Formats: sequence, C-alpha cells, structure tokens
Amino acid sequence: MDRKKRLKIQKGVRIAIQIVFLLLAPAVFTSAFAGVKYIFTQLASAQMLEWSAFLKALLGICLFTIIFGRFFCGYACAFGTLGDLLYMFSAFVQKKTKKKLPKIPEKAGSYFRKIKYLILAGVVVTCLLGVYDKFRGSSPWDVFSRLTSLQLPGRAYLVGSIILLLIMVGMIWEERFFCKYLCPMGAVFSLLPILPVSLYCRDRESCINGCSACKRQCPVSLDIDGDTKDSGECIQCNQCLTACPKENIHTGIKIKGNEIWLIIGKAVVLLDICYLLQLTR
Amino acid sequence: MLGKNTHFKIKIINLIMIAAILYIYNINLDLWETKESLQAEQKMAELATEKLTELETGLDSMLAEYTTQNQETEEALETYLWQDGTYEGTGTGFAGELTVSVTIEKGTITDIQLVDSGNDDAAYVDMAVGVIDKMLAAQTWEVDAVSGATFSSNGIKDAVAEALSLAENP
Repeated sequence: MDRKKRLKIQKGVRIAIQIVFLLLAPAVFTSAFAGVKYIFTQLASAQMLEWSAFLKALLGICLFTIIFGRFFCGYACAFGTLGDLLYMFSAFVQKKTKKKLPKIPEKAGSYFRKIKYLILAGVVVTCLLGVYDKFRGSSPWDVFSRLTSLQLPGRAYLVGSIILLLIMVGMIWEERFFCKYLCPMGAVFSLLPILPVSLYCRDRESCINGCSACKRQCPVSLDIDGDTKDSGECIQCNQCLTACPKENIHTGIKIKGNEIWLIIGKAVVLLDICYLLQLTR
Repeated sequence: MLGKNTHFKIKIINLIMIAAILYIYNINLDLWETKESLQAEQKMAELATEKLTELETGLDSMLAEYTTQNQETEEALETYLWQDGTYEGTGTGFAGELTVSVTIEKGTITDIQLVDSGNDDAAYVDMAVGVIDKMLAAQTWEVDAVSGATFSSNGIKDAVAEALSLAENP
C-alpha cells in the first residue's frame, strides 16, 4: 500500500473516530475544564476539594493523557473536531478555487502558542478572586456546549457567541487554530508529564535531505523529536508517522503497519473512561 | 541538559509538587473544619450547662418559696379553730327561726350580723342582740343570755353555734 493511500485511510479513520466522540461525548472538554475552575474556586473560598463529577472528569482525562499523550485532543475533543471539520471545508475550497489563505509565519506562531497559557492564567486568577461568575457570559465553550446539546445559547451569552464566531473564523484560516493558540485545557495538558513511550521520535540519520513531510502534515506545526520543550503541543494524530517516506517516525511502541489498530484501541479505552465518568450521552 | 527526557522529569516533579500541595491543603482544611465544629459543639455544651444551672437555681428558689408558703398556710390552718370566711347559721328564737351571718378573719370572729330575726318581737330582738357583743368579746358562742330576752338570745346563740360549727377546721 503506498504512502498516500495509507495517509488517506489514517485521516479517514481519524475523522470517523472524531465524529463518534462528537456524537457520544461532546461535553468532555467542558467538564474537564470545569474541574480546573472548581479547584481554584474552592481554594478561593477556603473550602475542601471534594470528589465532584468535574474533578473526576479532569483527573480521568489527565491520567489518560499522562499515559497516552494528548490523544484526547487529536481524536475526542468536540472543539478540535469542529476545527478539523471547518478546516477540511476551508482546504477543500482553497484547493478548488486555487486561492490560498495567507499562513501565519512560524516565528509568530511560536509566540502565539504561549497565549493559551495566558488565557489559562486569566481564568485561574478570576476563579481565585471569586469573580469568575461575572465572565460566564463570555465563555465560548459554554456557548458551544449548549449548541452540542441542541440548545440556543440565550441573550446572556452574546459576548461568548461573538467570541465563538471569531474562533470559527480562525479555525477556517489555519488548522487547529484554537488548539494551538487559545485552548486553556490544551495548556493544562501540555504541562502534564507525558510518558516518553507515547512521544513521537524521529530517526534523523535516515531522513531525506530537504524533506519536511512530517512537519507539513502536522496540524500543530511541530518539529517532531521526542521529549522537547514543545512536545506538549503534540495532539497524537499519528499523521507524521504515516506520512514519513522512510518510516523514520515511531513512538515507544514499535509496530509496523498496524498503527491503525493501536489508534482504535486507544479510542476504545478513552470512550470507556468517558462512559465511566458519566460523560457520554 | 540533564540527559534524556528532561522535560518529562521536570513536568513530573511539578505535578507531584502541585498534587502534594493540594493534598496537604485538603488535609489542613479538614483538620481545621473538625476543630471548628468541635469548638462550636463545646460552646453549645457550655451554654447548655449554663442554662441548666440557671434553671436549677430558679427551680430551687421557687421550691423554697412554695415550701415556706405552704408551711405558713399549714401553720395558719392548724392553729385556727375556725377557717376564715363568712358563715350562716340558724337557731330557734321565741317565735321562729333566726338567721345570723358570722365573719371569721384570721381565726377570730370579727363580725356577727343578725340577718333575719324571724317572727320574734322587735323589742326582745333589740335586747337579745346584746348577746352578740358578749360573743365577740368572748370569742365563743357560749355566753350568758340576756335576761329578759332569754329565748331570743338563745336563738341567736344557737344560730352562731351552727355557723361556727360550719367554720370549724376539719
């Protein structure tokens, strides 16, 4: 099977799994992030941390991420799926009209990536000061959750709806725009110690001169090289591995040609965890 | 830096520290809350014992008061032959029944009133009422009748005797 075909199958399987999670468990992101907010609101009011559903969701997904990496981001997050679907549509239109949207330069991109940590810090600080409730209407995630449960957001969420629309524009412009630059949950995940066995490594010695297939395929524009300062950005989509013409890229588990089954296995495990955490519909 | 997987090592140390801090925070809050609730319970117990001792002293003084009052009344009831009040009695005079009203206050006869003089002659009755003053002075019904109005006097005496017998302490 040639590389291009394998890549097509891999992408097909990925979008299929993403749609399954979108239909069965679209609220996982919101619940896990609510766990983050819960911790800091409890700290602010000097109350104990109890086993709330949100805290359990956060810890469950974080534990999965520590073991398997940000597989959740790449395959299960409803927001990520929304972005991927919008970008698929955008790429298709760009290809047909032969008009390409301007790309954000790499240097600028590497700075923009830090914004999500600022957003995380902002949310944490508003929780610690006990004023988070005042900003509730400006949360684009709450707006999105209401839409996934087939409800309209309502007048209180006007600011949030506008922000969501702007984010969707960004998602059309660049692949994984929200995930790379704005996602506070992604910021939390990227700070977790991901087991090195789940990181993607590259045998640089056998790389073809001038080839950048892995980097071009990467939705978050990562320089794949195992445990680096940016390896927390990797969303475990597996496209780099499939795209490499020399099959140089691998994780700690080296199976040749059957990576699809490993991916499906991880998706099943994650779906089970979501079911146990009562995050499925 | 320090070899392979340095970022992983840094991140895992960070995570352990954060988890430890949150865990210690939780334990401390738990201890603090239990201490607070124990203190609150102690305070309530103290207030309760205070209230109880208050009630106890109150009841004790009430009891003492009632006992003395009781004693006084008993003493009063014991020494007096007659109970305080107003009593009526009838007796037979010369021509018919006479009715008297006797008032007892603090065990003494304070007043004797001829309520009904029956059919007796007014002149005899006027003389017979002299016996009333004698009874008041002697504090008994057994006094000498007024001579010349013996039957009327005896009638009055009998009536007072009946009234006094009603007033007697059981």
